[in-house]
Amino acid sequence: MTLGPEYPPREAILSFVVVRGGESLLAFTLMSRKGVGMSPFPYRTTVYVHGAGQQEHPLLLKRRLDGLIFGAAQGDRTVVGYYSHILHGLPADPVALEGARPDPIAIAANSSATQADVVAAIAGSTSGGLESSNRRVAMAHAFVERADEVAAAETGPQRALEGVRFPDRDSGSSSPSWPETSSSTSSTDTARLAGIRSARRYGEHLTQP
Amino acid sequence: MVAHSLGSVVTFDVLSERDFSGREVYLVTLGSPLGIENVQDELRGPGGPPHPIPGPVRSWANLADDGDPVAIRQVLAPEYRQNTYAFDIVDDLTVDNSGFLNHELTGYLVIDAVRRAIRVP
Repeated sequence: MTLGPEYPPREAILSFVVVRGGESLLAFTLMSRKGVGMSPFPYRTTVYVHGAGQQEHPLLLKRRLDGLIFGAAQGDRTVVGYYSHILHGLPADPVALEGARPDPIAIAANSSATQADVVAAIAGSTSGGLESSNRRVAMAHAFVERADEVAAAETGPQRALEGVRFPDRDSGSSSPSWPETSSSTSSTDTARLAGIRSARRYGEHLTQP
Repeated sequence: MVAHSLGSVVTFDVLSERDFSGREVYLVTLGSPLGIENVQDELRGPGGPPHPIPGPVRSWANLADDGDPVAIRQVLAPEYRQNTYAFDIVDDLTVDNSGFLNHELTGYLVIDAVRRAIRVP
């Protein structure tokens, strides 16, 4: 640790601390520490400034960095100093995308929904080109099937989606639907929805711009 | 302020603006190229080294992996001179970034020393 000739005297440090009111005790304690890289005083706002190149949307960047550093969203305590959009443009607003996307859980809970309906809800819009869209749909299919496996593992040998006919695979089928259940609160339904919920989380990650 | 890579140069430049005088900033730079001579040549103010640290900076922790190709010169303390208010400038610390090219931001943020530098314990 280097202290140069302009290092302020102790009195200056104390007066600096006092003006910070309720945080003063913590501030003094921290300033007394000599460990390299320790935060020397409390701060009200943390500003993240990203590096070069195209970045994710600032809302997503803030969410990710909050989680990595603090373990949870920090609200107004953190902000992002964002400049990537000057060269690369601003990625699509994830909040707007989320609002426009149907909820796959709500769809899955509907007894008339097909697997294709759920896949479409997870995969999102067809923007981003055909190849990108096809990739998302293919992976959403895989996620839904994985959800089915999870449900089956949790409820025994009977597959949660057993008997469902999928129009995108079986063009000759009639009125495709989720399996009819006598009770909306059956363990199979619960497990299936839990699996779909998990699939949706993966889908959100998958469809981020 | 937590600045990674080119962001540390941007931050350094922004904090040199007059509008920021009177602010108090604790600066953490990760994988910073501020040790590179060509970068220093573009900084504002009188020439150096040592270059003047922007007035709002009260303390500066600089952390870099010794294999980080962006932070070729990791030790910044000899390159920058203290401003009027700073009291423990500059802390240079070498860390081990297992991320891509030893430079990735995520790779820095999972290091305990980096997290300690950013968070109030």
